[in-house]
Amino acid sequence: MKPLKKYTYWASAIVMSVLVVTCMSIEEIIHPDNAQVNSDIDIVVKIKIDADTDRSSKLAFGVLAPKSWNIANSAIVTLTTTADFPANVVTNESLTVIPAGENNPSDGQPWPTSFQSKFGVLGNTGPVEWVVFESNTTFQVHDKDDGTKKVINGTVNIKLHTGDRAIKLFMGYTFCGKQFGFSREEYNDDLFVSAKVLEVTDGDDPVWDYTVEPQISYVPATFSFGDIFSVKYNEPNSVTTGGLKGGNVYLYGKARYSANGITTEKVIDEISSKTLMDELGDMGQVTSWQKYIYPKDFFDLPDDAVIIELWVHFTNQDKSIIIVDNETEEDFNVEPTCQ
Amino acid sequence: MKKYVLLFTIVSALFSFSSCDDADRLKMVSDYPADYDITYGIRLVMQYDEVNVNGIDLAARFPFFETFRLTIHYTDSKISAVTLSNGEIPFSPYDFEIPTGKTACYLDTEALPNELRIAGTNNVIAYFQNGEFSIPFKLDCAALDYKYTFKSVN
Repeated sequence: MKPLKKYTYWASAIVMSVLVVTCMSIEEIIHPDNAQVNSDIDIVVKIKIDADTDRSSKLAFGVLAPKSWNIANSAIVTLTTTADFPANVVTNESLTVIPAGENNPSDGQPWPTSFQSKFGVLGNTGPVEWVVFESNTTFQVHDKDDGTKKVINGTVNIKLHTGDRAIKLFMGYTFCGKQFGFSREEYNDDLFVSAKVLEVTDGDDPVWDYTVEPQISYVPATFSFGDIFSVKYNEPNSVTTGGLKGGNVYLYGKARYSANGITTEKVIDEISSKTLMDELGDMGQVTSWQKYIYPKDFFDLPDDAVIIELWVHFTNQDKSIIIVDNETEEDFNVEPTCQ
Repeated sequence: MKKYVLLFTIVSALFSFSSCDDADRLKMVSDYPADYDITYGIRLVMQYDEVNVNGIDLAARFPFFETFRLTIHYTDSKISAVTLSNGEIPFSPYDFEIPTGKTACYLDTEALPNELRIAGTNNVIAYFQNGEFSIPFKLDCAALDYKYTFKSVN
């Protein structure tokens, strides 16, 4: 059965596109059929601007992509338009990343932060980021003159280099006028964003599937062992026996650390309030529990301890059920993701 | 009945005159404390990252956050000193050693947001903005930001 979340995002994308069909819209997204790891891929996004107001602006075009692809530094994005008004016609114009110091005028936030705040991560469960590009051309749109400046059709070509890991995710696309951002005057709350699944295959490692909740996840997704983060266990609702639903869930932890030049291990294996996880309940496809930890405190380590590796598993009140990593059949290896 | 109404009016007038006595009003002004302390405990522990740009409050997740205390001492109605206790929190929000005992400090109102600084140093204890103190800090990952905000626990 396909994940419900996938349908939800498709449905919302379609509904939102319909809402704004008379002003700004994404008409079509074309992903490659057979994207491979460590290769260049081409994505095409067809857009349409049908003016409801008289304003001129550069285009701000946002792409949601895996953080590990670093598309701000690696993607080549170009725009080609067709329009009755000659000055609105461009061919293969390069779109460049909006510099870090510039903010979205409608909310005063840096562009990637603004898009993140407005649209989120579109259901992805792994680290992704919004990167916002701008056109060089200021497009002129009017709805009251002879009509030639009313409609612009555009094709955005995005050339990306995939990473070395097979991945499945919701790629996200949206755009607005750079001069006015998400101003209500221009959009009447009809903000839109489109998401489409992209699957990159091949490679030696297991696929990162950001479209489903993994067995284990973390909040925030980016952290180091010296931070506060939550360890989240997600049990598919299809699991009816042998799972942890219906009772308390506890976190087991093992840390390998060095202190005073000595490397040693410490295990926390107890059924107590210290290890009791908070039940987040039925999240749709999965039932989830989470436990926030500050690792040094959780493992009661000395101040100068440096954690090298950390493993966890999840268990029930009488430890009769132990949930380990499906792939390795060992404890989950918690890998810090902060770079 | 009219007699009672008249009597009530006279008694009320007498009471109102006595409560407006000038000497009492002056006394009230002179007793108003110019030297006092306000002790704060943590209200919110916000964690910000690229996904959760509006932050997640961690305060209730760890009982040790309840043990932090920030006492601000006022002399002649101005901030003159601070007493800090990190309680049982297993990390410090500062990259300098937390001062022990009552430590002279001042509010630098030239800086925006205003900075509560330890006297004679560049060490900022807290920031004051929009009517409240806050302490922003980082732990390990540079991409994560944390911030304490406070409530009075006097």
